Amino acid sequence: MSTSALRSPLLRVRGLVKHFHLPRRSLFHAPDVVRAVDGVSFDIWRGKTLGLVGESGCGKTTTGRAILQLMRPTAGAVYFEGTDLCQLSDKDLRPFRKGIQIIFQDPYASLDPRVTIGTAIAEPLMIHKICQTKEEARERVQELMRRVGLNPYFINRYPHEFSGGQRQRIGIARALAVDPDFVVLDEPVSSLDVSIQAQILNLLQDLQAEMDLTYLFIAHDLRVVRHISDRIAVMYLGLIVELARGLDIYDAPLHPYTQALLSAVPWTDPRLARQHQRIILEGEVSSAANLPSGCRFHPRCPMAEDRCRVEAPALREVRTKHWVACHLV
Amino acid sequence: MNTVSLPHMQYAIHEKSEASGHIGGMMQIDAEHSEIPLAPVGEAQERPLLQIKELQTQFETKQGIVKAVDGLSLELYEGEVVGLVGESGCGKTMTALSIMRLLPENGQIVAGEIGFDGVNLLQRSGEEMQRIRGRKIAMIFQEPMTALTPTMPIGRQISEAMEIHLGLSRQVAKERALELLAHVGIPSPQARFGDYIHQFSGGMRQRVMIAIAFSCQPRLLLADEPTTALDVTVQAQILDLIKNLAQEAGMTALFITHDMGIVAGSCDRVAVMYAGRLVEVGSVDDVLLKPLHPYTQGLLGSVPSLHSEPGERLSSISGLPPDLVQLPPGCKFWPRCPLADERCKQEEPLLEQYGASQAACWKADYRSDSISESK
Ligand SMILES: Nc1ncnc2c1ncn2[C@@H]1O[C@H](COP(=O)(O)OP(=O)(O)OP(=O)(O)O)[C@@H](O)[C@H]1O
Ligand SMILES: Nc1ncnc2c1ncn2[C@@H]1O[C@H](COP(=O)(O)OP(=O)(O)OP(=O)(O)O)[C@@H](O)[C@H]1O
Ligand code: SF4
Ligand SMILES: [Mg+2]
Ligand SMILES: [Mg+2]
Repeated sequence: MSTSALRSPLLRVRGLVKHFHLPRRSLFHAPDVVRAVDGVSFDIWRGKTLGLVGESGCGKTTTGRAILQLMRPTAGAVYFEGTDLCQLSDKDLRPFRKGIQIIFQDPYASLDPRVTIGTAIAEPLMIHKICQTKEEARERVQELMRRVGLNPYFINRYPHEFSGGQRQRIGIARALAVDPDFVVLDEPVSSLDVSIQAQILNLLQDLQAEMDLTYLFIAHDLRVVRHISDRIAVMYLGLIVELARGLDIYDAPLHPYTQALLSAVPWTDPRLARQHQRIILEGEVSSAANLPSGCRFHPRCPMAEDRCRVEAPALREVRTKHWVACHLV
Repeated sequence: MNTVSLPHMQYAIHEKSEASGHIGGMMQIDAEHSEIPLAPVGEAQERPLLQIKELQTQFETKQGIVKAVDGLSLELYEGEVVGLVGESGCGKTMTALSIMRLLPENGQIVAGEIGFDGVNLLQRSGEEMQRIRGRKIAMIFQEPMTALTPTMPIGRQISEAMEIHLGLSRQVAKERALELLAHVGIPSPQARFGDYIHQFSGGMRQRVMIAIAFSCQPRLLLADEPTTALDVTVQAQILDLIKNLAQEAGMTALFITHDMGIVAGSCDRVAVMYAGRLVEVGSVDDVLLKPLHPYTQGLLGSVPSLHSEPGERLSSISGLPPDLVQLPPGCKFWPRCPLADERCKQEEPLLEQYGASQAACWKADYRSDSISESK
């Protein structure tokens, strides 16, 4: 690896925007626009994990999919090792597809029930011509299965014969089959029981270390995100409101939304739980189809001032490597 | 063991759909007596409000008999909040539905007793149970859509039940329903009274369920993962709401969850469930800070802490959850237990007292000793 590769991020996202246009309600209405992702920028360095947290509907999945070009962004740039993926045609994108993979939340939905797991894991190997023969692919599949903690003996079984945690392992094996550099993990453990969740988190960490993987880890569980991430981006209604090293965010959250989010995490130590004061947010969550004026958080913000209702705050570096978008910070 | 066989116990889930729209069921209450006095603290511990003895609930399936609840005994005392925790499929919901006698059609209570306020619910007729449900025992379901009617305005869902069963006039029932909606934090209840459930967000729906559950001031509240589907900030609001309402009314509550954090913040005692039975019971402090059972320890170790070094390996429980059709002999946890020995594989440990907690583990004795020594 060249020194410049060490110094520059593997992935640079700049001003990423993804809007959805809903069907017109009538001829006289302008079409409704859902501003799911509305100008998001961040970097991820090789071998590191950026955690992306925020409430349901804030645009986490859309961000992940727009980065991978699974849906083409409305605007912005996604530099992968210096190349802007947004500018590439579908054909030119193809060689990059191998290097960037996604693991979905729902291990049930992402596997074809009629295909054995051996075939499912082998599929990307054949598509990307990593293996030339079936025998070669089979060997590689067995090796991958061992690596993610599945018994290779199960190679000819169908997805329904596996538990949720095992299916998630299959999804991981499939994504890693092509030896990617960068993996988007979209809520990879949210549907799993805590004990299985811990097994998968340990596995993801081991694989990252072994294969020098770079992760974008999307989740809404703040304990999980703190555990796995080097840096964390907090998203609210299509925008990043705070971005910093994980420990900085947890020890000294600066944005009122991050503070409320963190204070709502239930503490597992009953002594602390009793002393703990939660910041209870009033008001309903707004939607990306009907955005509030000014700071998008102002209708729920306990500290909102007049200025917050009219002027949108920019994301600024208020401390070293700690970015916040709030007028009061 | 005190086992009663109950041939008349096949309660089908259609009882629930009959009463759909008002889980608050057939409520019979007169407005004057709707205030339940707080139990005096001294007396509170005398007789449990709810006493489950050796409950066994089973399902007939093609694969065989699923032992969803398998000899569970638990007591809830007046005014306390008890957490019921355990992994998916261990039988938490079926325990609650057994108490309500609202099991799915292929489910059956085959043995045990459920004492509520001195009477065995398993010997009540279907009609008597309808009167108890909603009036004396209310349940908040994990998925509010299963308990709310999509075709009836939400306000009517609360007020109609109160009209029929509390004998309130339409006007009074509506006023009370409006008060309840405001109380659970629905903004401008007057305006939202005529809305339908699909116009509400997940958190709002859960609030409507809570309003219905509390409308008759039941003595026992069964809350089945009331916040699992919600975002953390909304989750915190809802938990506080249930806790405050229960406290105000001096209500006894069973909180079903898989989140140890919710137990720590909301419960007095906690019961840990594995494969249809309890493996540990004790005060929240004892169980969460000094767990006796290896399963409890594993569960606690699996949750990333907010205080540990990020990236530290989690001490996960190995293996897979048990198959309730083919449970192993001996301790049900042994295939996943790091301490298992020959005896564990053959003899089943029962719940026994160790210090202030109870645990079902052959090694709990040794563990509680070593914990007190190390103090
Ligand atoms: N194909 C689409 N058409 C229209 N709107 C969409 C589409 N996909 C997503 N949205 C909207 O965009 C917003 C962001 O959705 P997204 O799925 O990215 O959220 P999320 O943060 O991943 O939420 P969750 O935690 O629930 O998965 C939401 O308001 C959603 O309703
Ligand atoms: N209708 C049914 N027929 C057969 N088995 C059933 C039925 N309903 C539930 N079960 C089984 O009974 C067991 C206990 O289910 P229950 O719903 O009580 O679990 P739980 O602890 O509430 O899990 P979760 O945390 O996922 O809600 C499970 O193993 C489940 O598969
Ligand atoms: S009885 Fe044995 S197998 Fe069961 S939990 Fe205790 S040590 Fe483990
Ligand atoms: Mg998503
Ligand atoms: Mg359940």
